[in-house]
Amino acid sequence: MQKKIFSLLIFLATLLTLLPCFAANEEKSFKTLNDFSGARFSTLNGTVADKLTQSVIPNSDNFVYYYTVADGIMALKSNKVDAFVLDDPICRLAAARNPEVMVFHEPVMPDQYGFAFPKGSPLRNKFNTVLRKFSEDGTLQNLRDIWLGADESKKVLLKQDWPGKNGTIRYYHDYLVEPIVYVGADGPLGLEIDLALRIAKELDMKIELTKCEFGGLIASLQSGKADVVSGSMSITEERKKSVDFADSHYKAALVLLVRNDSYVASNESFIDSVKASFEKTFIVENRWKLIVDGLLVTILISACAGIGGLFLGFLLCMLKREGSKPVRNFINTFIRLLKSTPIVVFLMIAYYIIFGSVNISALWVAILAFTINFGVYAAETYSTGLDTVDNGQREAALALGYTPKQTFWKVIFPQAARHFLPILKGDFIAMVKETSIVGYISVQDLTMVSDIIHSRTMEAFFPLLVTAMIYLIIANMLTTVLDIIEIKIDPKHGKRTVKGVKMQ
Amino acid sequence: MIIDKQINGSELTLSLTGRLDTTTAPELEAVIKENITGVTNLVMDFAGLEYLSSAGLRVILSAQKTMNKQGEMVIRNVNETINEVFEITGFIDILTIE
Amino acid sequence: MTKQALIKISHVCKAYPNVTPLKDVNTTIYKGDVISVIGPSGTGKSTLLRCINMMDPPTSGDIYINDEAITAPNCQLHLLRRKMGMVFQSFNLFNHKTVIENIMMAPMDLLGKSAQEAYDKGMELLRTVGLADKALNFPDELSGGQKQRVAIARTLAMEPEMILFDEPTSALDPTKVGEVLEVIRELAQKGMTMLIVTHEMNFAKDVSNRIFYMDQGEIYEDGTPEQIFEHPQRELTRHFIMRTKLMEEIITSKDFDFIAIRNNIDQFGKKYLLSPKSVHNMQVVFEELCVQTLLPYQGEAPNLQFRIEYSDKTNSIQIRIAYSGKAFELEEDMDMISYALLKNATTSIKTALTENGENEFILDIK
Repeated sequence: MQKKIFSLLIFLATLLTLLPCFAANEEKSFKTLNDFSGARFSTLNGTVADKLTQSVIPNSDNFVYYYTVADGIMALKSNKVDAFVLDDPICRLAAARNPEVMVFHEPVMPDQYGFAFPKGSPLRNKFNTVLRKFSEDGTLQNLRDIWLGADESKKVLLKQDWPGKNGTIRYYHDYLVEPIVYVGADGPLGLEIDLALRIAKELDMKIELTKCEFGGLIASLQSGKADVVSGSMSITEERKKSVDFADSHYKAALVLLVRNDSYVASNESFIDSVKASFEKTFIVENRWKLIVDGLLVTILISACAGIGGLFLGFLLCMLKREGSKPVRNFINTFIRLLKSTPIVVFLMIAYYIIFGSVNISALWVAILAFTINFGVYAAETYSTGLDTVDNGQREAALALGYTPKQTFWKVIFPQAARHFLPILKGDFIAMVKETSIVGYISVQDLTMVSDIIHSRTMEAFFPLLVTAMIYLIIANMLTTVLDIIEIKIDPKHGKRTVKGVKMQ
Repeated sequence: MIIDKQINGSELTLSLTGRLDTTTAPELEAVIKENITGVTNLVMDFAGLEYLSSAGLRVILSAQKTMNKQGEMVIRNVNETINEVFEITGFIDILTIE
Repeated sequence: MTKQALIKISHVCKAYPNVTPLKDVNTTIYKGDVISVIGPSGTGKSTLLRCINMMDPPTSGDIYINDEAITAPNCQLHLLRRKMGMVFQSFNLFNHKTVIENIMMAPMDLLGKSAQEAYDKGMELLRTVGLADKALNFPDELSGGQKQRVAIARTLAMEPEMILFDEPTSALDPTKVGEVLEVIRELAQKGMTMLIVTHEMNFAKDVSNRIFYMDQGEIYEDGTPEQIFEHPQRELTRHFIMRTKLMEEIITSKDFDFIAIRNNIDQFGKKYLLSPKSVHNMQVVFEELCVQTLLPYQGEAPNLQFRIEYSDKTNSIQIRIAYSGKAFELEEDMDMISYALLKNATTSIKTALTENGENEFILDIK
């Protein structure tokens, strides 16, 4: 949810930046690090950049947190913050692509990245052995040159063509930090991913890649979902309390990304910039395919959860109404518990705790979680609908000689449907929109794809616009279908006649 | 029932308000018994009397008998209901009703 | 011709946690009976009906439909229910179906009739209840009286052996009662067996061959309309038919609260708007006969029952005084003055014996 509101803000900010008129900002000029005292900072959610900055620059506790680099840069450009604090490879790449921003000449603090493992994992020593070897034979330096370089053609991952006799490594990585870990045309790319592949090859192990929000990396280690994680993760004392780190494979620094005062907006016309933006978003690296894939995931989750939830909801509703007292109490508690849990929390609990130690795909967990969530709401909705049918209707049918079962299906249910369908429609559309949070458990749905593209292109406008439009279209298509059903079951709809009868 | 008693020389006036029935007749009987000695002129004012039962009639009859010996008794302001009671019971012929 | 028993009700009791509407009901309903069930509210009339088709299963006792126990746990309840239709106070037409569909539905679903058969039969029934032109309307487009006529047609479509009517006109606008009663009357003429809970006394009198007066958790009196309405045998039946208002005082001590009873008589008079004259006469009867005459003969443990019965229907007041001990001869033993007052307050004085065998005076108040 927070993410959606936030995306909306970015969307508005983008609209503003796309307009050719810039309000003149009276800005402080920053010469040394100490000049940043009292300035507005931002960084990514889940990093330790804020703590580190505060230990160096006095009076620097005014921090805003973003989910993606692209969002951070957008905020910097629109003068919402004065400095974006992050690791230098990321900042340098960003500066290279955005002439409006630049890396501040003084680094905040040296930093180092490492792969993280669950506490006491034997895999850590194996990684360290290989890392030492790579350091000595120059492999590490070679990889750095390739991934930080400008030549995109060299940025190709190793194919997993070794036998992998020693098992499989489940590797969770962030996916929004170019050039360390990100998503290219054919999937994940980046220095750390390439490095992890090479280490796996040395160990003769297969590696299974899973994209995961940076904030969820540590959780996936602790829940046993992942054997190793990375995402330009700084080695800190605090993190060492919960995970073990391999030796650092990258000596980096924490730097400030600031607005480039000497930048003068180009004369590029509005139309041209929109064209370029469109191209970046959809054409380059066939990114539209990502969008289609994401859309299919969203539709798959919505459809499965929608159908599953309708049946589950009916089951829950019947148990709640007809079950014995303990069953009713149990169902009621279950419904109340789930209704009071935010779906994002429930989703994470399902993934990291309930199915933490089960080897089940995140997509299935997402479908299951949304089925249960929708089922709970649907149960309440059915119940409300059934309550509106007067008991006299039941009695009249029974008195005519219908069995209780026939009475329910012939008399009660059709009348209840007229009441619960409109509510169910609302529940369902809300559920479809809520599927946008499945990125939290690394399911690559439409919204996550939009984030990936946005993080690569530093353009928020088209990905968000298109995503919003797709949700709009899905929701409207569903509404239309449900509207048609609703009209079909309205007894007063259509010509009044008796079917299959020669009328008198 | 309220009994209002006025003594003027040898004339005793009793004004009755309410119901003269089984429960209240003994009260009237007691008042008359207490004050009747030496009375030559007994006046009963029934302006406020709503109800009269046989028990009350017996007290009135007994007072009439006493007064026959020592003077005279007059009943005043008899309303329709009470008058009907006197008529049915034949008291109308025994009593002096003004 | 021997009558064929359709329903046998044996020792049926229906108890809820707080009330027991049916204590012990026993009766037999014969084919062709048109029975009106009357009685004060809350005496289990509707409960009896709902027990018969197991809408509310009895707490104990048995009910037989054509010698088959509908109360048996293993009976084919839905098949037995088809033999007796039910018409509800609140109509309960299926709101999602048109009038004709309401009527066609059950015969098609349950009797396996074809749509055409069900439709033809349905239209025929609609014509008999005068609503053929409403066949394609929905229930919410009909008046209450029309709804109830459709409900009757729907019940008839299942060709039941009898119909239970649960206050069929109670939810209707008074102007619509007649049209529904007319339909029921026609059914009675055609010989349909019916059990009708109703408050329409004139209708009950006209249409029924039997009346159940229900009270005290049982069928208190069962008889022809003539018996029940003209010569009710039992006390509560009489009170109900005469729409009697009651006031009762029991005197069991010589030191009873005279003033309280006197006030109660006044209040009773006020409550039912009785004339001051009547109230006065009631007071006279109470005081002269009860207090002055009978009480002194009762000894140390008196037992006098003083009861005023006011009939709303005939606007007449009767006082009954039951007393223990031997019969009292008014003309011989009563004080002259009291007797004169008593005679003046009443139009007639009779003596009788109560159901408990006590002596009783029955006085009609002027």
